[in-house]
Amino acid sequence: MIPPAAYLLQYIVSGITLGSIYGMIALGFTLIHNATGIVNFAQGEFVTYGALIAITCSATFGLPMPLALLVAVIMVTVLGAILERLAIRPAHRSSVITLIIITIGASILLRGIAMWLWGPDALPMRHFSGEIPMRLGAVAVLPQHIWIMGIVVCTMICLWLLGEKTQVGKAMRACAMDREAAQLVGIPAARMVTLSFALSGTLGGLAGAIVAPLAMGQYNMGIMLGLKGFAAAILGGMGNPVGAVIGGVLLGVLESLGAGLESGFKDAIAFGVMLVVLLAKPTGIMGGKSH
Amino acid sequence: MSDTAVLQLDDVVKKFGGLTAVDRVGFSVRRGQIKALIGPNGAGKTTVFNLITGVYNIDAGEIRIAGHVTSGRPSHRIASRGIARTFQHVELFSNMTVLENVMVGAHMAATSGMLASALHLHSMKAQERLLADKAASCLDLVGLDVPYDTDALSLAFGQQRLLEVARALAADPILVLLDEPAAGLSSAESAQLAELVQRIRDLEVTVLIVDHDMDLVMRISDEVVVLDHGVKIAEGTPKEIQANSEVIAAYLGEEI
Amino acid sequence: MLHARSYRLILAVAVIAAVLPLLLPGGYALHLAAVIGINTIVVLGLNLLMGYAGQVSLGQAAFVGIGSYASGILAAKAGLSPWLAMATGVTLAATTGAVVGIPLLKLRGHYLAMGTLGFGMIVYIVLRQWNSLTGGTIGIMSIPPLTIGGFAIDTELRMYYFVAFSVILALALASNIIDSRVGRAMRAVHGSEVAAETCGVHTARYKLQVFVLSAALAGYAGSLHAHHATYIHPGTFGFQYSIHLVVMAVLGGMASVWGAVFGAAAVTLIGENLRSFQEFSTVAFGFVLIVIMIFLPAGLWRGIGDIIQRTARLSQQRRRGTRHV
Repeated sequence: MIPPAAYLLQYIVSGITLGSIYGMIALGFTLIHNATGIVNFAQGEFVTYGALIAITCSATFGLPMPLALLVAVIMVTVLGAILERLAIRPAHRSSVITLIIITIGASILLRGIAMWLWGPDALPMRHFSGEIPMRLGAVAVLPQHIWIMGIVVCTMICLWLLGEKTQVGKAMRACAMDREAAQLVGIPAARMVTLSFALSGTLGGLAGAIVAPLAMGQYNMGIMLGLKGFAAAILGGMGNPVGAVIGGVLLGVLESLGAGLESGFKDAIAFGVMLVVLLAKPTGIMGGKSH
Repeated sequence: MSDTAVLQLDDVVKKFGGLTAVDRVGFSVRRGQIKALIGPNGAGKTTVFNLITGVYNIDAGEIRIAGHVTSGRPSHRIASRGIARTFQHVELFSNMTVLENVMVGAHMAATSGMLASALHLHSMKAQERLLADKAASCLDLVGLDVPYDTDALSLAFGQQRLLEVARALAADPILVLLDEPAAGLSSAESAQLAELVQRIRDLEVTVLIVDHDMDLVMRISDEVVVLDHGVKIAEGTPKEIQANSEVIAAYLGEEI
Repeated sequence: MLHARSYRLILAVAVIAAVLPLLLPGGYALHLAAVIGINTIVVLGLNLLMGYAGQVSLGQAAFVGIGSYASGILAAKAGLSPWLAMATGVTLAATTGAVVGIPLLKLRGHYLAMGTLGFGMIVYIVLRQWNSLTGGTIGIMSIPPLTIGGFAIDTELRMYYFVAFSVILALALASNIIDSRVGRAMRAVHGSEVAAETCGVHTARYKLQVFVLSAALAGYAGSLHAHHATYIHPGTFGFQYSIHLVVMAVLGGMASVWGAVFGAAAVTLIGENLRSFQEFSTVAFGFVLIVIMIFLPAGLWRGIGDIIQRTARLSQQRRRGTRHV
């Protein structure tokens, strides 16, 4: 069921917005996967905490939005580092299945804490600059959509700069490519792993904070978002950062176009796409690592 | 070629991306021989083993075992032609005991499937006894004297290598590929290994061996094939090879 | 040999299971025991798949759901004999396992995990959305009981015995398979795929066989669940349940079939006891999981066994005076 052409552009715009969120989450998965080879099932919880902390800062403590965002992002970054140090590092020699279970345990733990701290209900968040839609031709765009896309683009640029122009970024990339070789030239691999988890937290937390005005914040929002972010990473090519973003945007658009379908089945699109990619071309669109 | 050829390689090519690891290599191994495959590091020896056993697919050429074409077939099918191997980096089933490891080697000697196993049918139990006996005799043959229910993982390195040989022999193969069996062994263990290889040949099992221990290789082999950078540069008796200037140059890296 | 010891253990469990109802304080405890039994059957399949064959499935709930809904739809809505419905459910689960297993099992490690997860999610969504067939989010009610002759298995006690009987059978089956040529082949695939192939083990076939077997067991358990709960809804068969099943398998320990019993019992009972402390139970569950995976990755069954062995050895040495300080 293809929506009428008049709405097509509208769906594509909201699809790109949602997709850029998926892309940020996918990028978080990719960072950790490149640094450690594992899939971080707790990635979705970073999104949840980013959203809920931002909501608390702005609604409960009345902080101005930029400050609320900053606090949220910083706290989730630290959360990522703590997660790595306490749960991942002690088990770094364990088997794949053990590590999977540990990150699953972490996600359960974090979800439980979130429910305890914020309760089970969905909490609203103020749009950054109002809710009056702007008309660009046939398309109505919310200011929040612009914020999301803009912030995501800026984040991508910052990440690129980090990877290309800074020592730390280059060290992380070196570690991801060949851990032993990196250690031989003096790069502290363990610290790079912690850094990748922290950075992953930054991305997830930011994604949560900027999507919260549209999606609301809830203790269990991370499950679906995390899984779909993962699907996006697979679609774009697991291990490929550019692929993560492209996969995210593509998934967002596909989901949005599928809005013609019953909303319940819409969730299946992400998983269907992921399965198709895994079975047809596991290295994804851009060709990631296929272990 | 010769109809007593247990193994035949013809113009075998294998590329990895831009690198040609095996470049039109051809040789044959006659029944009852001990043949060695040597060459400097990176010459492509283990790649040839992997091509023979189907771990990699060839890009061109043909491989035959006892006359049957095996190139392009899956590994387990190739194994059923009567070829077994050991690995450069020991590939034991670390989650099983010594006896169980060797019994897997004899996997093809039995046929009981899921249903027979689930119900522990009488026929299956009889087969199990046969497999266990076969495994025990192979362990005796290689001289591995440890309790059968020892965890494979807890064996000393030299013992692990012996276990791999026992497992290979349990398949009753016509050809055994030994990939650097002497690597990491003491000279006493190497001498025992040399004896073992000759015992294997006495059982009418043909042997193709790769190793860097030149003493061992030259002492026990009937013929030697030399590879360098994926190309066969010489083939002959140990004496001929030792006198071959190209071979010497390949190892020393310079012309004489 | 291994056989005799396993059979004796299974016999002992059978005896305990037979007299257990006399020791339990009533209907709800029996209900819980049956739930543990049903979970055990699914986890046995997972144990074989993950522990022995070294594969992974994060979508096992889907097969349980298929079994449940086959029984529910055919027995409750179409009026078929519950036994026929059950047989259909198991066959359907096994067939689905075969169909998705063939392409999925080509994947390894995390990719296989995510592939099975995606499959599980899709089945869950279909069960939830296909209103006309499955009743959507409302589910299916009034599922009739299994009957043998005129004898209906419609009380907690009778259902408990039927489930217990099924568990004993499944345990015997699993033990038999593990200690057989097929079991060794599976374990060889886990130990070293490449070496297994050179021994003539058709690794792809064995992976598929154990996957299908685990799907069949899950389907059977699903059918039992349908007749036990008499009401099924899609929420039961989602991602949460798949994860819980994996946790049961891993927590219990995958080195032996007894880990399945232990894990299923432990997780089910903990879940029950912390039910009143909703958030706390989730937090505690996640925390315990992490801790156990870090310190006892072989699972509780093996872990506790090791600790007992070590303590016994230590005290023995102390008594003999051979313990060096």
